[in-house]
Amino acid sequence: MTPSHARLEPFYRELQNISSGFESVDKKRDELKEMIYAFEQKTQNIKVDKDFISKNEELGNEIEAVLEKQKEVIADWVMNFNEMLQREEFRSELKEHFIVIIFGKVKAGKSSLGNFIARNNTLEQKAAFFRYDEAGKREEIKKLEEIDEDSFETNNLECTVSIQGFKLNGLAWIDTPGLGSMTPQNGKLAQEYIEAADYIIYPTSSSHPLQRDEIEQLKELINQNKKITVCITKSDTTERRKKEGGGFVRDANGEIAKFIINKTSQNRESQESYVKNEIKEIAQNQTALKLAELFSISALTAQIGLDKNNEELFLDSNIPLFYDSITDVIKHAKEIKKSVPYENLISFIENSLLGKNSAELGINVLKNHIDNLGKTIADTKRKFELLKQNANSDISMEIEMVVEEFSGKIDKHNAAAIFKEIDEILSENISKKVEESILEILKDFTFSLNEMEKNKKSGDAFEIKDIIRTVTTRYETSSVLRKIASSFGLVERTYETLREDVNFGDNKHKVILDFKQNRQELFASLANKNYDFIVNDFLTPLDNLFNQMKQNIVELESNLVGLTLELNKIKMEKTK
Amino acid sequence: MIVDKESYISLKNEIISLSKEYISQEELKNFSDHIENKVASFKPTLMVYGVYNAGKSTLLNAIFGVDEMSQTGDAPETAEVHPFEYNGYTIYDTPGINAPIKHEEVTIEHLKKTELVLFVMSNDGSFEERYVYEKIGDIIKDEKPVLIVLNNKKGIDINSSVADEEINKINAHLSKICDEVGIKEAEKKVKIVYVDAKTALDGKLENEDELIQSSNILLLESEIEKLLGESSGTNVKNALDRFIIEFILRTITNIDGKIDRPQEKLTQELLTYLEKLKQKTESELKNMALESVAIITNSLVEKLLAKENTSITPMIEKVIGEINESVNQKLESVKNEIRSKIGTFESAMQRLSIDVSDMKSKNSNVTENSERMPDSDSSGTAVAVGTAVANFIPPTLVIPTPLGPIPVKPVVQFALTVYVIFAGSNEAKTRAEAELEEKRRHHLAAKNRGEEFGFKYKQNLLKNVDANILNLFDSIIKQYIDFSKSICEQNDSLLQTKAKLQDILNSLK
Repeated sequence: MTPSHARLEPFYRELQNISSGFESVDKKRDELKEMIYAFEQKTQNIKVDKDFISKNEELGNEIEAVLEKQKEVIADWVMNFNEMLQREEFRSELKEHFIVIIFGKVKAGKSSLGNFIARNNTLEQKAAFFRYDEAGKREEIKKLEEIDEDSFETNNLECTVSIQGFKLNGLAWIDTPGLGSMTPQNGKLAQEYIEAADYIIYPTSSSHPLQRDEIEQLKELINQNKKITVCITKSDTTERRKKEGGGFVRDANGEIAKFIINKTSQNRESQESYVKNEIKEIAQNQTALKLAELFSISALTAQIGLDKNNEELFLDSNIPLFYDSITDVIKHAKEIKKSVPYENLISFIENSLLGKNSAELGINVLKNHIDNLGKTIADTKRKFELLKQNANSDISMEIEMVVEEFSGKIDKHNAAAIFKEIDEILSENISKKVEESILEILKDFTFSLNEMEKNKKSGDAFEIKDIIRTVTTRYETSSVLRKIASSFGLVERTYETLREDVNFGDNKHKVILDFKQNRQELFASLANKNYDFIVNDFLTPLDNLFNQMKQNIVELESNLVGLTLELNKIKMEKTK
Repeated sequence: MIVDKESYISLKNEIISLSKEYISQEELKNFSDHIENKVASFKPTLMVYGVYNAGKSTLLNAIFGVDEMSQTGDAPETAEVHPFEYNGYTIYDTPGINAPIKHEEVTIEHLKKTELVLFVMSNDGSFEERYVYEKIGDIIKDEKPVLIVLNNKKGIDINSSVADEEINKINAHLSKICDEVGIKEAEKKVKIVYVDAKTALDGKLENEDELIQSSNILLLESEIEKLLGESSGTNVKNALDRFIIEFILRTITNIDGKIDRPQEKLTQELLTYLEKLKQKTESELKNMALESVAIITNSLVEKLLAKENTSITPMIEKVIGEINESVNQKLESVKNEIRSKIGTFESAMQRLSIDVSDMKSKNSNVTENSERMPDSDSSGTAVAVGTAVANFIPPTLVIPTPLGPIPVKPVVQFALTVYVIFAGSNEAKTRAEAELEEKRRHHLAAKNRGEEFGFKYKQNLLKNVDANILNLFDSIIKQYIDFSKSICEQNDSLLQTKAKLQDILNSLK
């Protein structure tokens, strides 16, 4: 064994020491499932009458949209949940192993790194390569293929989507198809497998380290509570060499020869510090990225160094340092593996269900929809209140106008008939006004005058009478004799009373005033009864519906938050 | 279709006058300058565009054969657009796409102006990435000629079959992406040149002809010459039209953001409400006034008939006090209603206003005034309301003065005279008849006095009701009418400007 090979050996030894830390979170997962199903049940229990919905088109559509969205989101959850179960199956197949997944962009040097690790094992055991075909069937293979590469010869640009890897002692190394390639489903598959990882290695190519889309991908991994090592791969380049006497060194064909070398340390340092700074910015206080250091490495120069026994080339490839840092990670394999199922479940709840990192995800979508519905309802109520107030003003104006029109004609003889006529006009006009205002909210509405007759003080009560005051005087008509007799108490004196009626006009103005006041009260109360009907029959149920929806969401949210707290606690205990 | 330069300038001026309120000064200047420059030279420019680190800067250095003409580095560096003169043309180096630094806008802005594009990708990664082809597809869609440079960063033999395969692959990828967005035969619209920029630069610097030859840089240079030479006024016109279209579309988006229908509607709602409340309050107050008139008239007649002259003034004062109080209460409650309605209105407006600062300045006038209303309880404004109330039938002043002293005495005097006339007569009946007549006259006089007083009282009350209604409603309604007008006018002018810009768009398309 060369010193270079010996340099790698501690890593391979550590792989033999990996002991399983497999944890089952089935119970907790079932609890979560129950929560989702309970919510689904509650959502389905909200029954909305078709008639009710059709009363107001805008609101009806919005309610239906919210209900539809709820169904959709829940279906999504169930689907994601089942996907999570599938990944769990994958994990349990590898439950004795520490699952390292290499995940990154197309052409980031994923497969080369995996092949390097598998190929340069210094110990007895051989790496066992495998691959899952499209149907999910496992098969043995000889090495990791460049799965990013479209097989161009067969002109098949849609290359087979697959996951490959190898097992080496306690390590299961999983290679994923690259992100951002010509075939987007490759990236999707890789994303799905991420959940199965105990640990992630994220390579970024030295040819353009950490592009913007890679930064986004890293952010997402951090949001998923993943433990990650980032490395800059392919840190090699070529050079021409000149012979001492002049002229280029040439290959067997006489072409100018190209020698593969490591990139200059200055170059690598500038890349490393750039990537470190970017990561610092996106990771903020996250601990996920602190586990391993960042190196710019070249599996290619390391391999050439090993093969050609060029120790300098090998050491400068930074692969030894990379091995060291991964060895440190593997020393913690057991506790990492124990924590992962909890992290996954927590991440699932936080990201897919609670939408912690996006307003467009999970429960947030439903909340937004419901809140918007709430706004529309509030707006409808506001409009309704306004219409009601306006209608009350309209009623008083209507009464003023109509009474004014007739007031000249009214006298004590025709009062009853005219008041009756006024009542008829008022009933018709006011009904129309109230109806019109309510129709702005509801599709169909007929003003009800049911209570009218029984509450109405009949026109007869408003009788116009002349005001007559009678003046009187009295004078004595007794004769002198009678006066004398009366002084002895024998007879009464006699008197005559004179009276005259003085006409004080009539009470017409007072009667009209009373009539107006009475009708104002009467019609306002009638109108209010009609408005109350709308409140009871439409607005209140609408509020109830909204509150029910809101409450369901709040309940689910608090349950989910509770569950994540619990999961965090268990995780802490397990990995203490 | 615009052909001559003059019409470009006048078109430019028209667009600027239409959009100047909706576009930043800087953007306007940029727009104006670019058109003027283009019209002056009518020469195409070439833009070096591509993935960061694909070797754009190295390539430019190689073309010019200078080492540090353009900064090169292994981490993202180029952050600005750099112009280079090349055989009488201008070539622009631009920051790379998908770099994490936030300079991509600069590149995107420049892409809108340029006529020709040199798209650089490297063979060690980026040419397998989907987004690269999406970017190229966008340029093809804009009908701008593209020359793709595949830079041999991987260091393969660029005359080998591997290199040919890579070129084929790029063509296949490109046509796949372009098919998806409906561009047919994309591969026929672009030319791909495989170049080893680093080798070319080294060759030129070290004067090694073999390196220069093998790097393919000479082929690229001749392709660039051809591209520049072949490109005609049509390319310039096309790019210029697209540049203008893009600018107009941006302006229209800004205008759309400013058109405010919901605010208009809310203001109209408030106005309707205020008008109706005004009418309702007026009729309620008038009815209250008429009732008070009836009370005072009747009471006065009663008092006069009962000859309770001394209690007349206290009675009148009491009735006036009562009407004052109830009118006051009514006005207070109406004020509260207005206050709460305006509060609701303003919070609704705030929720709506997309551009808060803009809205604020328009609204400030109304807000200030309407805020004064609701705060009438506070000391400063209590004066205003207090004054309004004080104007309303001040009991000691307004009512007694125009009526003069309470007319009790004349009636009594008249009665005495009648009595004196008949005092000497022994004829009881005659005297009684005279007394009856006197009583009748007394009643009629009381009635007339009462009504006369009532009439003046009524006139006074109604005048005060009018004054109060005017005082309470008119200025606030006027303010909201003005506010509503300003929104409408603004929306109208926005719509007009938008329509004009759309006309220009249609003439360009």
